[in-house]
This record gives sequence, structure tokens and C-alpha cells, in this order.
Amino acid sequence: MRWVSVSAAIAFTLLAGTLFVAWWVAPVAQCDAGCLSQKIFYFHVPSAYAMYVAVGACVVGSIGYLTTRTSGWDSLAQAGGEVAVLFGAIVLTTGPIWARKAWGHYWVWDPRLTTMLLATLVFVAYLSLRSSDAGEAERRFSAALAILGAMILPVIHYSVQLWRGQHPTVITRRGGGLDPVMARTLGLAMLSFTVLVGVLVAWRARTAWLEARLEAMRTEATTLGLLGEEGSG
Amino acid sequence: MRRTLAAWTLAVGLGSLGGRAHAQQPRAETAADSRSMGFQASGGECRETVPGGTMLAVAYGVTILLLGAYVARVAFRAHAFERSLTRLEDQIARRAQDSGHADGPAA
Repeated sequence: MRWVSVSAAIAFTLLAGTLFVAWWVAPVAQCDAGCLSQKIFYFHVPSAYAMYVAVGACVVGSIGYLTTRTSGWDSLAQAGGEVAVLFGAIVLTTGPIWARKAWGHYWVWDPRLTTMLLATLVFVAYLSLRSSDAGEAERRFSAALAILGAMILPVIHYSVQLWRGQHPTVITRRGGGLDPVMARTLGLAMLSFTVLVGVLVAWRARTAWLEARLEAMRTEATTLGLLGEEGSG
Repeated sequence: MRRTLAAWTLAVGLGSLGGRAHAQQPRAETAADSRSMGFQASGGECRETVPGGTMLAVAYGVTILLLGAYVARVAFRAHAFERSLTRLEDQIARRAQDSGHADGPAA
């Protein structure tokens, strides 16, 4: 568990540093970009990126599970799915707060917003499928759902370029660009969230693996008659 | 002849000026260009009708709260599973020992 403490400390320090730089060092943007509330960008964009990483972990775990049927891969998939929903919730909360300031509305049915909501709901469905006592069939079905659900990620990414919408495309080649100090702040935020998502997925995967091991031990002990009623609870 | 040459020179000159002027026209803006928005540092004072600072604090607060709640939940579960696992291992070892003692004299 030492690695969890060390990596969590690194993630926390980086996150605190990002918060400090975003709040006090990064300049305030022009008013049509939200003025002070534009600084939401430094948590909003890295959260979306962290969600992509978590979904990637979920897909890798799901493919691994479908291939090998071992609890280690399943734990990785579960961790990825859970962390993806967490970061999806952050994106879907911080985005509308910025939009209220910049667009005058909390929510518009913009292609990127809609596809992001859809992706988050897919992984909420994935988690609810696993939330009850998930057997072999549920685990296989949820693995397939995660792989299919991940296919929406490229649609989210290219939705701004493919269809009309209001969402800004600041950091793409066709985007309007970013002030150098803002770009460096965003770089720091991306680094923080990369470490954070890695720590969260690894830690949650270990917890899920512990849970699976506990269940397996309980079942085995009960089968062998080593446990009475008190051990099954 | 001289007039024709002068008219020809004038036409070519005006044409080239027109071409250069046309080349300086901004490229037609595509739908993607019009949607993109650069984030540039603002020089002057921002006049805000919606309090940006409060919204920023709320957004950061929500982010930290969600992350904190999730970390607390995972930490609680990890601790609970580790404790259950240790208890189960002890229980199994005790039972195995007891059954070993019970089998011992009979064997």
C-alpha cells in the first residue's frame, strides 16, 4: 500500500499546484470567453482527457477479461468504468457553469455536449449492470457494453468539427489558439490529471481485486465446510 | 498603336492590382472557424453581469468535492475489504486447526 500513499501524495501536490497556478498565475481571458470563469477550463479539459484515459483502461480490462476470464482484468475494467463516470460527472458539472457565463445558458443540445452526456450515461449503465451481484454473464455483457460504449469517444472528439455547434475548439489546429501562459497552465493541469487518473484507476482496481479475492475465498471456504454461518456474512 | 499599348499596359496593371487585392482578402470563414474561439489574455477591466469568480469557485469546489468523496469511498471500501480478508483468513486457519485437532486423536 506504500505505492498508493506515495502516488496519491504526488497527485495531490500536482493538483494543488495546478489550482494555485490556475487561480493566481494564469491571466483572465477576454469577456466573450467567460472572463474569470474561463479558468474552469483548466479542470474541465483535463477531466475530459482523464475520462478518455479511464475509458481506455476499462476497454483494455474488458478485452483482457473476455480473452482470459480472470478477475485481475475484470477489476481493471470495473475501475476504469467507475473513474470514467467520475470524470464524466466533473466535465458535465464544470462545463455548464462556464456555459452559463459565456453562452448565457447552462445547457444547449450541442453535438459535443450531447455526445459527452451519452458517453457518461453509457458508463453509468455499465456500472449499474455491475452493481448488483454480478455473475459471469453480467461481467461478460458489461465488458461488451464497455467496448461498444467506448466507440462514442471519437464521435465526441470530432463532433465539433463534423457538425455545427457552440463548443469552442481552442486547442485543435483549427482552433483560435491559447495565450502562452494559459497553454503552460493547461499543460500542468494535464500532467496533474494524468497522474490522478492513473492513481485512481490503479487503486480502485486493487480494491476490486481484493473484493473478488474475498468473495472467492468465502465461497471456497464454505464449500470445504471451513466456515459456519458467522463466516458467510 | 501607342494607344493600344498604353491601354494594354493599364489593363494589365489594374488587373494585377486587383489580383493582389483579391489575394489579401481574408479566407472565407468556414463553420468550424466561426465556432472556434481563442482564449487570449485581456488587458482591460472585465465588466461582468454574471459573477465569474463565484462560478469559478463553485466549479472548483464541485470538482474537489467529487474527487474527495470518491477517494473517501474507495479508501473506506479498501479498508473494509482488507479487514474482512484478514478476519476470514484467521477464521479459516482456526477452523482448519480445530478440525486438525479433532481428526488427530481419532486417526
